[in-house]
Amino acid sequence: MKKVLQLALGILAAIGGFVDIGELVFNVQAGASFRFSLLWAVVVGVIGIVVYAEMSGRVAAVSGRPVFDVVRMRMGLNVGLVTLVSSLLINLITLAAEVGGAAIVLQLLLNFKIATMIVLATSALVLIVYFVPFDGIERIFGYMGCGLLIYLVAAIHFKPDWHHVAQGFVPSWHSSALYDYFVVGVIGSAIAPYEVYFYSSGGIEDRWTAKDVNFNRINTVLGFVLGGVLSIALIMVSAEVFAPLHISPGYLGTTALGAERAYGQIGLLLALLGMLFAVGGAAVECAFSGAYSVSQFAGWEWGKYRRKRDAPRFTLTWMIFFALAFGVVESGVDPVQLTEYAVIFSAVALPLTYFPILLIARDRTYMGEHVNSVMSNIVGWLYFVILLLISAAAIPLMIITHGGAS
Amino acid sequence: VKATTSMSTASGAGLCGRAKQGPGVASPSASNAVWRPLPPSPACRPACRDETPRRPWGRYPSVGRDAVRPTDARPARLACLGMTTGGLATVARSAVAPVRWNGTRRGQLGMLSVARRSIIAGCVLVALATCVAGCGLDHRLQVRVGLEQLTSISAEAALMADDLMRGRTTTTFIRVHGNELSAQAEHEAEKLNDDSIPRGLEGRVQVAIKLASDISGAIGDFVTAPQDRAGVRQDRAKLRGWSAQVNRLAESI
Repeated sequence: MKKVLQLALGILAAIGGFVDIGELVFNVQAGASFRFSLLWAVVVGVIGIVVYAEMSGRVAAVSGRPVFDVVRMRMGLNVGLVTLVSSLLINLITLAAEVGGAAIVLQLLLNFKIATMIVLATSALVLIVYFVPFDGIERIFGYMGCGLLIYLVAAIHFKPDWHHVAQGFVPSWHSSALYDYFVVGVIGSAIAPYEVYFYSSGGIEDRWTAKDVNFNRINTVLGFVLGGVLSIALIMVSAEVFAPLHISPGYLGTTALGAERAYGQIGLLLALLGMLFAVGGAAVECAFSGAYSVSQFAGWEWGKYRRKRDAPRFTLTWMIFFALAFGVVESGVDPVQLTEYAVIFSAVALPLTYFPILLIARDRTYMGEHVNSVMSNIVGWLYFVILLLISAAAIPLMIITHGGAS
Repeated sequence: VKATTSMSTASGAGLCGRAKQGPGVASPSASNAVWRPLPPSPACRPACRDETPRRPWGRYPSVGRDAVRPTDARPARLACLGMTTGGLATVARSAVAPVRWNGTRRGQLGMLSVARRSIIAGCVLVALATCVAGCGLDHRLQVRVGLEQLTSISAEAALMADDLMRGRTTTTFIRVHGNELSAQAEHEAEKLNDDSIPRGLEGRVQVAIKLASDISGAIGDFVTAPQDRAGVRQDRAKLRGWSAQVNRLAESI
């Protein structure tokens, strides 16, 4: 029973983390612009996050060290500091986008002014994080975020041409910078570094030990594959509903409209609730990731499982993160635009996060019998090369396509 | 007492190994040698006595769960890093302080640390990318992108009107999302009006501006009176037609 409950960590990571505002924006835009032809990019992203989240979870379970501790230890102070600063900036942008996204969804549900909704969303998130224990947060956001499964049902409801869908899983190259931009965006949003920071630190919060290595493996595969299936469903719904009409989704309301077209009011409400909790869960993950990163880097006491007075700087850090994100969103920045920047910039920082994990996970001296298998090493290095390519291409593609505008 | 015990039993894991390099200086060739810790306090020394040979990436001898956990290592770390009071601020100050390479006179080079340069370079790159990505579309392309946006808004509004007519949506959703689309259509009209018009496109841009206003108005109509099904039906038909018309305009550019 305990193990089943622990699977909530995977579900939270999948729905609240994997399907966040980045997925809701990039995947829907990708489906509307290129129909099914970017489905393979989701698969690439999902395998990547499964491989590296499994490694980071295994390192956390075996050694009790989360990702940022590993980064700090393996890469030294200077590179660690660069990774810390870049990850904090990206976390902040992402958190602002998630909080803004939650406010927009609340507005679509309640029709109050957006400024009021931002206050409501931020306050609700801070209160939940402050008062609810870690496993409670997992359950609230993990289970309620399952409303997004409506997209899976809707994707089938639209009776897509399965032959074309299958073709979408075969990588294809277009001579279009916009296509490449979306490849980077779809993979980048799937393999966002904050998910791994949160996942490995969450493993320590859940007190994983070496006995939990297999559980970690099941967790990552099930959780992230579920998230990946939802991403695929988002692309399919968008390809069926928006692409034929030349609709270019630029709002979260447009994403909800896809579910409404299939199941009317019920579809709309399930989609909006699912989006609210998925985006809210991702906001919690981002705030925690930022606080975990700073605390682990500085050697402070950290963890939600500790009493607030035992980890005061950790508590203060996530609160500061929420406050900063609140300020950013209240300034009137478009959360969807912010999401695009967050995903592209996080793609640039991918190698800094994943390289130390790979080094530790393949180190027998450190990992003992739980060291990477030959296959894990091959896949890990292969993905590291892919991450380098994505990282190098992200900014030039953003400039060439004017942020995906052309 | 517990902290002291864990510190003394730790076999040099974590950052303590770096203290062996000695205070104040570091070799530029070693990958993690840029760290310049303050002299370790006497209390820290047992934990810092790491005799294990280190590889370029560093080799930490503690395996598995014997490794010092971050929280257990904290007192040792704090002492080793001289972070007894300053926390992260000390780390940051230390990182951005001028590096003194071995063999040079004190203060001779005063060069920026790798971290500081990387962070500055990263910030400049991000700022440049943001600026360049956000602007600089050529005028013709800008008009085309604007028209594509109008096509999208009109088609989406037609879908919403269709759902509204069939009672498959909520009034709240229609009002909030409809207002977003209507405002965006107006914004596109303003952009088309304000931007300099490329030669040969004057007529098409004028038509597009008129259509943008019409689209915004039609959305405003069904947002204001969602219960008027006959009106919504008319709006749906008009929006569909305008979407096709703007799309043709966009493709002609």
